[in-house]
Amino acid sequence: MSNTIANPFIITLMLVGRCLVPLGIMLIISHYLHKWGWITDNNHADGDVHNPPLL
Amino acid sequence: MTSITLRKRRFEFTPGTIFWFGLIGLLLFIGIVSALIVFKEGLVVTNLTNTVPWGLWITIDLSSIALGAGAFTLSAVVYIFGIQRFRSIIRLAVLVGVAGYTSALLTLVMDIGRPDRFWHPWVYWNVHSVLWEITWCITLYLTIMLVEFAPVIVESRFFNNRPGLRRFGHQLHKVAPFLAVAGLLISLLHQSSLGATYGIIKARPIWFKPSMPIMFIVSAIAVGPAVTMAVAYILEWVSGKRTVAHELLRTIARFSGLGLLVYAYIKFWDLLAVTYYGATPGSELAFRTLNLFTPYGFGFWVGEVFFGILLPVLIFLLPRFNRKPALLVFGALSAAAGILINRWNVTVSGLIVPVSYSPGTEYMLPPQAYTPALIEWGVALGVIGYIFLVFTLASRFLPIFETSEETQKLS
Repeated sequence: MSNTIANPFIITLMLVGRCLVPLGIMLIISHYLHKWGWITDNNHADGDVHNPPLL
Repeated sequence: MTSITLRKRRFEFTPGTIFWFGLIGLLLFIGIVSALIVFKEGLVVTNLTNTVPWGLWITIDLSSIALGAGAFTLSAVVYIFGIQRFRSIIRLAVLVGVAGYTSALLTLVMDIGRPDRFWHPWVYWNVHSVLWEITWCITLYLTIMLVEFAPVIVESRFFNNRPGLRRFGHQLHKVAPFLAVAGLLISLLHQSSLGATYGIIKARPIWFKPSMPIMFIVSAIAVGPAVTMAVAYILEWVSGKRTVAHELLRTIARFSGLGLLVYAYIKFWDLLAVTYYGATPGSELAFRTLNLFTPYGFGFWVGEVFFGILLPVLIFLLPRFNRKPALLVFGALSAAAGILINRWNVTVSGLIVPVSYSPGTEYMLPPQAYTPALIEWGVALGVIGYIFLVFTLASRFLPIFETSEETQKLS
């Protein structure tokens, strides 16, 4: 039986499927969340305080 | 230019700190002595056998990688989704990741039996092996996290007289988004491959299933950020200073609660698939064997489901509970215990059920219960001591809650 994992096509497919596709999906979701205003750049005020200085 | 005199951070030797450092010293001493005995005598001093060759150390390895997943999850939140308010916890998340991954490598060095050959996977490639991919991913990701964390180290007061290194650190800080994305890609690979390692063990009737990689990565994404949140609260209590905005930590808890619900959904489908839809005589025999030799059912329902999923979900998602920091920390510790029990169940329970045929053996190995030897517990205590030491020193000497810009303003 041939070993499929040594096949360069399978290795490339696994890399694309398990690595680049999830990244692409996240980028698309991020794009639309920004577009629809669910994520805004000015969202620092949501916290109870901004990081107080440690000194 | 306004000059600010930085207060030197020193340890005050109160009875509390003396006890704490005494405890860390004791744990490290036990760990180092145990490690030296294992290096001298070999794995024969452990309770690992041909039937159960992976035990407590691999459980710690898998758990610490999963619990360190807050680094890549929160990096994705900041650098991919652009939610900038989480930036204030990124350094802590990376520190938790560094502590988790170095702990994993420490236990792996003990477990491989020939620690002098730790470098073999880098030189002698075996592209057929999932473990080879994991070795590469873990070491690459640890390197990336150390580079990400390097600016924090050079910003500490030890490098006050090294402006060149400071400048280099600031330059390094600028490439942090690229490092974070590279780390994210590598994490997507190895967090799932750790589960795939078990998925490809075809001869094991319970653990051969394509759901393992998904369950491993989803559980890590859910619990990793919760652990970072808990560490932030604990450091705040110990230092007496507000570190990260509480509303931010509550948001992380809610995210973890939703992540755990997704994990629970996949887990129950998986349970049904193994025990009902896809039940075979092999899997039924395996469950009977497990329940004869181990408290598997109790560990699954009480450890994994009740403490690992149900309790943290209620604490993280119900407003009356998630307003209380102590409960959030308890929930995170409970979820972390659930991960630990899950990795134990997958590793050890999976191996207790013997294979019908194993290369190199002419007979079926007997089912064998496994209890870690004292020497294995000794190494585990040493790893715990190492984690305590890392967080104690880092929280005291490193600016883990200051952003690079703030530090630049101070100097």
